Amino acid sequence: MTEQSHKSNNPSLVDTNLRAAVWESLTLDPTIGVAIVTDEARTLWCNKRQAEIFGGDNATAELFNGRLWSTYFPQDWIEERLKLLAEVKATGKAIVLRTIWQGKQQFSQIRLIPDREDNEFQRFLVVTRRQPAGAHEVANQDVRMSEVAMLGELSSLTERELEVLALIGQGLTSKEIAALLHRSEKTIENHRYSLSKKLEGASAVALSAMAAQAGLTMDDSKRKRV
Amino acid sequence: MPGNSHQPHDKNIVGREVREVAWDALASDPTVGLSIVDEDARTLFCNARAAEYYIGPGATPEQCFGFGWASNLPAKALELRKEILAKVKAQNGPMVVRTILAGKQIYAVIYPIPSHNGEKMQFVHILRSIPGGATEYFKSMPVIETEEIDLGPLNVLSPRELEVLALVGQNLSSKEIGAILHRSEKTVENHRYSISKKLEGASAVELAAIARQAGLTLKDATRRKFKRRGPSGS
Repeated sequence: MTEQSHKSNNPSLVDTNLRAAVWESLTLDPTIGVAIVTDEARTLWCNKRQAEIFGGDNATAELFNGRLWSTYFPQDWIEERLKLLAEVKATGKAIVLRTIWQGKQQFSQIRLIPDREDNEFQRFLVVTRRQPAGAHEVANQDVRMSEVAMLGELSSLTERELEVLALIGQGLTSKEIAALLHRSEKTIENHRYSLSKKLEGASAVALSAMAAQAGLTMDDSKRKRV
Repeated sequence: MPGNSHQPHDKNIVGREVREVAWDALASDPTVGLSIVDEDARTLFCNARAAEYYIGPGATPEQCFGFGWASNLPAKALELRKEILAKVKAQNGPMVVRTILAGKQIYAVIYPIPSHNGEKMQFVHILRSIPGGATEYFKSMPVIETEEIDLGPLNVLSPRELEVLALVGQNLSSKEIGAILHRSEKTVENHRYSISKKLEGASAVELAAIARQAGLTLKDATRRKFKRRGPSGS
């Protein structure tokens, strides 16, 4: 690992000042959610951004700290995450998970925190960022797709409308979308009209912006909605 | 310890081992650039993402070690970076820098690392791309915008075309753009056509997406453009 080789070359970099500064910059960052969670499905601690990502713009960390996930999260969501935690614990390897939450695409890195074996629970560090579509940053990464999605402002859409929206987000015309979905251009135009109506009269450009924020793909239309 | 101020019971939860893991998490995060830079704007550590931001696509962390920004930034831009580092040191608190690299809007937050007696100060940089319209994230911190930007594929556009593209990114019609720029709708349409031609026939929706990724503003249109040399040139 790069950071390992670097540590040995630059001993000053592993001192406590550096670790403290990196921890502070990570947890105070307004775009990065940080949480310490356990395999009892509990959040021990999270920063403000993490609370906002999961609880909305006015949520505070106190809402989540020390609480069981079942207080706030749907069962399907919890079970999927517990499985991933078990895998990270078994392999010791970090996992990057992609989820749509509140209609926005986000990536979470889940890492094992070394704990004593006789601990009653295992701790994990979770680092989460919202990242819209076109995220070349994750292009070559091994990313897991969450099967559970919270579509937020897009939850009023049907499966078919989500598919059309995903393709609008890729910059396709109605004709191209029709060819892909084996429907007539007229049908697609109807879907677009209905989409736009459900989303407060959004224009084609605004629709594509929403699709981009959600990082919407065709597969997402079939995920379990929570 | 600064990290302990968040929660009274932090001490039990955020121990040394958590900070180690936090370092590993940031160092390997595909979406977040992490670097350690000293007062002379020399890079002491980069993760893969930061290497690409600093040097160019395809750059590796190894190329970043000891990398002097002087070799890849215009003199004015380097001067500004050093001024910012000096300010972060003086106020002993973080600052935010907004720039455009390779056509993507980048926000860097710079934190001071308390130094040992007599040693040069080091700084943590956390960089990430944020599309336009997401700037409310940094409303509680002062943001410094760099006057030198690397527009990447958008470098081929004229200042006027960049203005039009910035407004296309805000979802405005040609008529509305014409009114803002004091040009006729027809002239704006011509600009849009020429932009699309220069950018490989991008559609209106694609142009808006390109503008969003760059976080393009009217101000950016007249900023100084520069090109990074990339990994092969350094």
